Amino acid sequence: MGVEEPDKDPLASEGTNWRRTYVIVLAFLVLQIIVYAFITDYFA
Amino acid sequence: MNLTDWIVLLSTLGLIVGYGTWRTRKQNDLNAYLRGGQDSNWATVGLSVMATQASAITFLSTPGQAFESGMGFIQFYFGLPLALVILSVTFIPIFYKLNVYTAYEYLEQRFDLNTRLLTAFLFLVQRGLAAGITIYAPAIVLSTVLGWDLNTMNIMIGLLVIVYTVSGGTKAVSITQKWQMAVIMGGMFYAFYMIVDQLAPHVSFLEAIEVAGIHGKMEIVNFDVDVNERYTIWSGLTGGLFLALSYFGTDQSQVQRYISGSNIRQSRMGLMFNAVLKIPMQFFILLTGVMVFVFYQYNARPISFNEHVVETVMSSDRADEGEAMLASFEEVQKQKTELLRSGFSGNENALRSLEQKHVALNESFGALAVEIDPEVETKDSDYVFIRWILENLPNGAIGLLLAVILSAAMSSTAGELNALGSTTMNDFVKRLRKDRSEQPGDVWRSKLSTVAWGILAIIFALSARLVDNLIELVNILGSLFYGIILGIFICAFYIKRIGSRAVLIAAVTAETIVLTMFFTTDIGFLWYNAIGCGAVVIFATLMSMMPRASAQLKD
Repeated sequence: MGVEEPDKDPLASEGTNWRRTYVIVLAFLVLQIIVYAFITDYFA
Repeated sequence: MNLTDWIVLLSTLGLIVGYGTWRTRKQNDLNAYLRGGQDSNWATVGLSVMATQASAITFLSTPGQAFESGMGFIQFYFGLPLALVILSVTFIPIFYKLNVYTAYEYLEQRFDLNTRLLTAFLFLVQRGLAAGITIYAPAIVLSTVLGWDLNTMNIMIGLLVIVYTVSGGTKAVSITQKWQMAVIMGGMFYAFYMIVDQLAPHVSFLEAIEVAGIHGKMEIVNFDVDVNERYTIWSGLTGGLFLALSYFGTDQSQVQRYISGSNIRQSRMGLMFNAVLKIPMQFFILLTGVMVFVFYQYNARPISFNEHVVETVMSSDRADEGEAMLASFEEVQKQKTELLRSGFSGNENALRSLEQKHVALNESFGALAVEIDPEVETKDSDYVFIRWILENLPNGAIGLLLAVILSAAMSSTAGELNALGSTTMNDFVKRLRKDRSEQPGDVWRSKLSTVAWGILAIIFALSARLVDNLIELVNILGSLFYGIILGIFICAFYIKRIGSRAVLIAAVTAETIVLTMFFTTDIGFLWYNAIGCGAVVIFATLMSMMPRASAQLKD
């Protein structure tokens, strides 16, 4: 029995550019870490 | 607490519960009852996911954690957005395509019935125990601080949750969670505003941050590669990722929230809502705790925030030792306040030294209390925020903040009971009978199983005080099973060549190894998550790579 596959390209489905959404979400994470690192450094 | 607080508290809780029950009073079929009719939009899904994760102890403990150790705890959440993106890409399309009611249903389609039943059973054991703790943990803190009867509180929280969870199912849980989150965030913003406002005569907000920085409370990220450090950016990105993947991907109390979305897009947006907002939300709650810390630099602070510790010492025959410590504590406070008011610039080292004296006196006082009564709980960080609320907020606002804490307790308990009822009904009752199609009494059977889990959770909460360090016990039990469940799902999603028997043998072997290690070694329990998961994946992969065995083990 093989694994059930999701849609061929779930990243491009339903009229939403999911690839761009995920990049924005992860970029926001990186941005937060940079800001937190800056704050940490400022008070060190 | 006065009459105004009671009116605010009871009307807030009553309105939310009443509205949720009334709006969802007619749930005629299983799809409506167990998946909320799958018509939720992304905001409802997102808030529901957030409310299920945020329990009352989050709002009691997190500010206390920041008070004690600063902002570093935020790193624990760094893996969460990564996990939610992975789930959004991989898990959600499969759950929707297979039209499942529970996450474990997928395992039967991918492997076989035994794998589904084993995983669902492991979930019921750990989540069933955790539901009792979700009720008990805030009840013990609130009953100690407010003098309310612990058993009455356990029963009150449990019954209120049972009423709307049973009556309206998943839809009622989502609707109430939306309003509970509104109350929670409104209350937390108000509390934050009040702390900053009460600091204003002495310091501005930015100066308060500087005072926190002097004491190391603003060390948010730690890039050290040190496995002994509990919170570093590396442990957050790796351990946090694993934990979030298993919690959001394989725990039915979360899966049920996002499969209630009207389509894949709404579910994904709901998860992305959490991927974006969860870290800022935790940052804000931690910052509230840091502001409470600064508040107690300028204002008199109790030698222990748990009044029970003070009473234990002061009512004993060693009260004179306690009085001496208290006098020293107050003297340090006086020096600290004078130093701060004369300007903290240039006095950083003196302020740090005074804070260390305060911490040392707090610990000595706690040790004295334990010598008098070994049963007394001396760790007082869980009591910091509630004590600040009760002593510094006006009447009415105290009722609102208590509504915040109880709303959080109810929202996470409701998500858990709802998932326990659904898994019992869908993966056991409905699956194991001869006719698996939906029967006329199935909604009632689902309601009955939810009531049964609710009563079990209350009974467990009521007997919780009989067990030492119960929260740790439940975490240990969870860690013994969580890794195995995640391992099974990872094999299912990502390693196509693994068949049903291989994964089942690997899961049973891994569980045996984890339990053997638990009984024979002293390894920290958090490691069992990684060991269990790794063991399932490695054993199942090895078995599937052996040519003969592979042929036998594949279906």
